[in-house]
Amino acid sequence: MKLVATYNIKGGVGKTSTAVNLAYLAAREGQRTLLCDLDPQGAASFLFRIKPKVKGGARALVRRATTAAAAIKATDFDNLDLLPADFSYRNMDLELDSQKKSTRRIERLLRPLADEYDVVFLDCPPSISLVSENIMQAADALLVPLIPATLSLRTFEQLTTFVAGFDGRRPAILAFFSMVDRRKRLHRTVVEEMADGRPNIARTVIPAASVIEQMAEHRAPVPVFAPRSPAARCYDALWAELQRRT
Amino acid sequence: MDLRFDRLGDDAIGIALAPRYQTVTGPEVDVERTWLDTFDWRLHGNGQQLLLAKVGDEVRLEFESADGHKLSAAAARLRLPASVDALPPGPLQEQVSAAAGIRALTPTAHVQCMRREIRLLNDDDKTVARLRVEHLSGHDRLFTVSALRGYEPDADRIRVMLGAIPGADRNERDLYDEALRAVGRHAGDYSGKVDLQLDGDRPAEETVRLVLDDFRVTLEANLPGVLSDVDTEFLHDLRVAVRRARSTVKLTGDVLPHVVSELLQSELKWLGDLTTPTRDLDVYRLSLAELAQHLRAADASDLTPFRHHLEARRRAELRRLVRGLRSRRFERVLNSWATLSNGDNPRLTGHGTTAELARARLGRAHRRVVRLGSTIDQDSPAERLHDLRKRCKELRYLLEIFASLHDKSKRRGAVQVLKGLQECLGDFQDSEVQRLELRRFAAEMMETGTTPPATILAMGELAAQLHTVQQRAREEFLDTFQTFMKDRNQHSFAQLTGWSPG
Repeated sequence: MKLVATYNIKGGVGKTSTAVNLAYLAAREGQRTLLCDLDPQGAASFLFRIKPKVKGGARALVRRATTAAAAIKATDFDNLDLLPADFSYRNMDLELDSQKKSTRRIERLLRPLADEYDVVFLDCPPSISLVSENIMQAADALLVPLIPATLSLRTFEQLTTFVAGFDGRRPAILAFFSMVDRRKRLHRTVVEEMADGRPNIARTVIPAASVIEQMAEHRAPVPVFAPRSPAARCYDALWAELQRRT
Repeated sequence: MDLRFDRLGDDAIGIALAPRYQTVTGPEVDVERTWLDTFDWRLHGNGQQLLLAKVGDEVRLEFESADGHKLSAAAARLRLPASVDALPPGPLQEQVSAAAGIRALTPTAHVQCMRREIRLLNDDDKTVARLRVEHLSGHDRLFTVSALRGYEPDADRIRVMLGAIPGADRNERDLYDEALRAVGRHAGDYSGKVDLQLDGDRPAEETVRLVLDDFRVTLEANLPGVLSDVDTEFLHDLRVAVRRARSTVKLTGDVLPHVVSELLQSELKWLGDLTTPTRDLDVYRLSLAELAQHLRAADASDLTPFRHHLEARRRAELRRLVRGLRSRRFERVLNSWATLSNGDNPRLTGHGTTAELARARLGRAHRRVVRLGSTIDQDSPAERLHDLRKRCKELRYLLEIFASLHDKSKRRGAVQVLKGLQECLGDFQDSEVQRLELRRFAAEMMETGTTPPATILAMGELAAQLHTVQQRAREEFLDTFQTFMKDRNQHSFAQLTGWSPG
């Protein structure tokens, strides 16, 4: 089972849309795929029309190994399941903090699912907290969407330094530019300069496209309702690159 | 639970489910299902199903494991029969490969029908179940409700709602079973293992004819796969059938008319010899990757010209084999074999019952193994070990043939201990044969003048490996034979043969 987390300390950078589209593409090619919506806002659950509700909430999820498996729901798509969000996840930090080995709890709760899934996507809430540290400890790969702004580089470097400080196993990090508007000179410049000489920044760039925004309207991944759109092709390329490089 | 309806109007489904679920009906599509399995039903044996489903223009492989887990993968370019390497890479290929191994996937049954899929949505417009409607024949329509994880109560409720429609029947029939029956087959109808149900009181001659007929049926079942070169195991099973038949004639053929057993003995030898070169090359090709893994000085890629040489040789040998299997002589062998098995002029007298024959011949075969094995020491020539291997095989075949006459647990003990001895002797002989063959191949390749020196050196390393395996097997032989001879193991044989080791 491979764990891929979409993570960024900032919100609104394309974490959920990336997790949803890549999870869909993994499932479409036959991989048994689970998407865990760990963000209390529940955007991924909304996109798949699944109620953001887990029996017992964050407390049960953190404390009982059986909760996750029981809460999983099938999406409308073959091979793709979802662990829904729950509003109580806003308190997940507190629940994790009350447990032993508090930075490894999410890894432990996902372990029983190893036989059921080939790939698990973790859609993380925007923050740097015990939840995000858990996720980084559990993940095999961190997929980091970056908006093309100068400050993104600083955020990304903070993240790589933080991960480098882990004892033992560290996730592979692959960042990519998201919401890129090629018409803007700043975007073009940042993408070119930041990608240059940084092997952990993907070649694939996800554009700022209205078709991605329309996911909320269609409540479906982009390749479902706009399979020939440039955005769908970019997600295809990103998924291929992620598999190749991590 | 699937439901079968006769003459159900489309509107009836929507009306029946309307209080709780919206229906979204997909287009009607032409569906062709071709079930796949290995010739010896390895997927079925594991409780798995593999289906090549052509739905409209889309061709997909659909796999279901014993615990109901489903996988699918696009398979537009798949040509049948197919080796597992030809399947699209991914989890489905891994699962099928683990079960099928080196065997090819062949079509077992085929069904064509029209299908519609109806999605059943809850108040949030979320799909909670899928209803598949298939027009099988006439008015017969099959309704399958598929539950989605986390929404099982909805699927249960939908089944109840549909089941309440007048004209609904629980479907007790399995589509795959029906498709197999339509072509006169059933799952598991072939196995390479001997599965004879013998009657101990039956005259011995009649049983020997029945046994030989069973081997002929196995041989004929594998013949098309050998002629079309579907996979290597068709030839393997064909050869095993011939060897079993040869041993049967050799060990029990005296109950048959002399002229018949003489003819079969010589013709089965011819058939065995005809198939040997291709099989030997198959064994080489199949074991080469494993052997190459243990190379130390040479690189596995150095063996590529050797692999090509083996493949070229095999193509030539296969052509010779196919000519032999299409010859008048082979036709005559099969005809006389079939006539014998049909029991023309059985004498049915003078040779006792099947149980008596089993006891006497098992006893004799076992004594031969004990006698010959006891004379072998560290310095005995290789031929003695080869002879012992043959005697062990004969004993094993008799144990398999007469298995149904024996208590399972008693027989299992004898087979287990014999198997250990056979494996040791097999390692000894196979590594010797392969080593000698390797010298011959090296000489042939040197003669071409185009073989790179690195290849010949790598082959030399392979020969050294094989020599080590053979030496190890010889060192282990004495211990293995001592285990075979332990009182408790000999007691297992004594119970089958009435022979007393004391």
